[in-house]
Amino acid sequence: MSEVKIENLCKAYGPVEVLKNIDLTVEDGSFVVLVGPSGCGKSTLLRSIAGLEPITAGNISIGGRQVNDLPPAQRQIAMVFQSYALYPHKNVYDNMAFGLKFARTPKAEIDQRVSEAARILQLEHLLKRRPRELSGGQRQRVAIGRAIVRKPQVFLFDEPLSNLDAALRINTRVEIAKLHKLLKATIVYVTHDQVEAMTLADKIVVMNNGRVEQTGKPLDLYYNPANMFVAGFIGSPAMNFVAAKMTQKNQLDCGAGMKINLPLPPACKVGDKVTLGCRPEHIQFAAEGKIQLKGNVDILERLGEIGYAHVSLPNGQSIVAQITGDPKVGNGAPVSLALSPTHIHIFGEDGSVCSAAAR
Amino acid sequence: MNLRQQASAFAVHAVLLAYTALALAPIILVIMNSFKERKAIFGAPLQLPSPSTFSLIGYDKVFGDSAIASYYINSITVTGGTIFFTLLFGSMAAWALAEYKFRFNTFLAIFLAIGIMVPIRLGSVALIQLIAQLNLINTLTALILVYVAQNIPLAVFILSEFMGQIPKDLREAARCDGLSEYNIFFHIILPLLRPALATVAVFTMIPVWNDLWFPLLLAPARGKQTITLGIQQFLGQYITDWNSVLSALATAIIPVLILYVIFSRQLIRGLTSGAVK
Ligand SMILES: Nc1ncnc2c1ncn2[C@@H]1O[C@H](COP(=O)(O)OP(=O)(O)OP(=O)(O)O)[C@@H](O)[C@H]1O
Ligand SMILES: [Mg+2]
Repeated sequence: MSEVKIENLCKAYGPVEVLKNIDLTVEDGSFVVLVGPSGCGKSTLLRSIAGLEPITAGNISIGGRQVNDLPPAQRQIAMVFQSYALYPHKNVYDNMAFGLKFARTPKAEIDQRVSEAARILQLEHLLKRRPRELSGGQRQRVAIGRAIVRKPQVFLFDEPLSNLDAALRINTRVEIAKLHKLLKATIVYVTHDQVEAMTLADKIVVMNNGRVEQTGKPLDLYYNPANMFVAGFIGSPAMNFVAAKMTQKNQLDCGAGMKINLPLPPACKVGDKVTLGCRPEHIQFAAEGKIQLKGNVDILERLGEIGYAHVSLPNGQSIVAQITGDPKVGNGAPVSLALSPTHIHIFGEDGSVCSAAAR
Repeated sequence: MNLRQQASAFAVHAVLLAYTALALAPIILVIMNSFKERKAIFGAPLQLPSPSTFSLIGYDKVFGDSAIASYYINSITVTGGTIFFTLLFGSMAAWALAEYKFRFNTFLAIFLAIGIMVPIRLGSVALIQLIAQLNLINTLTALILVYVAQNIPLAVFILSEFMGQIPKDLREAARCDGLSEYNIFFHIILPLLRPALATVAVFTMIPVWNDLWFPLLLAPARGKQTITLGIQQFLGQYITDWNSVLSALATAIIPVLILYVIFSRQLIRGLTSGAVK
């Protein structure tokens, strides 16, 4: 039982509030990913769970035990740092065994745990090397190994892959997913990377400005974002937003004579300013379809099987549509876009969603 | 390399060589003359010892004098003790100032900075009184205490600069690993600080070894004299035994040289490489 429960957590550096009333539950054995723009407080939240940062208010409990005032060592957590933070003057074995030695673990058990971790992470042939004699990926594995040998209740990862090159990042990502299955560990993982978040997480927590914007399964966030921030943050390329005004029942006016007819949720009233959101992958070049927009192609980005067309609308806004194959249109050519009616999101003036399109 | 680069490289080396010559000349002169007869020292001080002028009389006298050994032991004790305590307390203080936020943090840092600026010899009279009250006159402890006080401010200053370079993540990783603050200091910080410690040790060692002032004031009694003070006995008011003085000076270089070699081997850079990307 190693559930992490965070209630009403606040953290301020002097007058600067970095975390504001965070509530979060990390279920036993689940993989929770924290995402958000730079400076939103992800690392601070992780470090507060670890006990490296004193908290200003609120409650943190791990495995049903309140840990607010416990030092990191007694919280039964293990942290993997972005910079790896290996002890440079110790070899790989000692790096992993270091904490255990100070915990007066018997020598035989240290040996057994380290070799177990080394086996899982394929570090057996590197045990005698110093960190500076290792590649980036190997250092990363040692850092994870150091966490594993402590048999913590909760693993905390702070952007563990951001120092690796693209290919290695994909490998290590898969390794971490396997490791999670193997160890059945509870993991809190911070990342900038969309793909890491979507592929690894049981649950994603989107943070912005010290607040939790939305919590949910990866696909829930993708299909049913609670507000414009989450809608724009999850998914790549980002969701298109078009400012509009409700002129009559079930009709939106996007300016410059662009009118769209679609069923609108009852919460929207005539005269409301709203924002229409639709992901590039739900917009196609097509002359027919219920919801149509017309515009001119600015740029076509061809990535192979799929590509993206940047289209400017008559009202001056620009949107991105996904294209398949080679549509053979030149720059500046007029095109018709069809928006998939089931994937349209309507956001109110405050940015929160009025209607989540059905999946 | 083009001509201009060559010229500038040449100029730099010329300046450095001139400095080296300037610094080494007196030492070479001392060593050279310590192997000569008294007459030759005065007759032709700049000549190398030749078969006719070669003599070991100075060394004979110095090694024959039973007190000399005790001068050496005293000097080594004082220098060694000073280095040890300066490094220990200096690094601890630097760690505390760099790592922990507490009330008098800034005040202490400024206080230590003043210690760098004000020469300790200005306080000699007060120091003598203090040492006398502590009943430590004519002890090596008195010298060590004063030297440690003299050297700690600069040591703290240099060491805290180096400490700033040790990545924060390392200490936090150690904290997560369950090390106590003392263990973090002794098992993580100190080993990584080795190059800086060696630098400070060299800085500390040479003035202490060469000092005449405080041994004269605080421990002038027979048996407690350091080598620099002990040598003074050969310098009389009317006659000076130059053979012995030069030989003693020449041998006095050796221990510092050994210590220097030991420390300079620690001045390996890039010890933290591999800790972080
Ligand atoms: N010691 C500190 N004193 C004051 N403000 C701090 C301190 N540490 C962090 N902050 C502020 O707290 C905010 C959150 O920082 P944090 O490191 O948690 O961001 P992050 O979400 O991890 O960003 P990134 O993705 O860039 O790592 C930032 O605005 C930062 O300026
Ligand atoms: Mg961060």
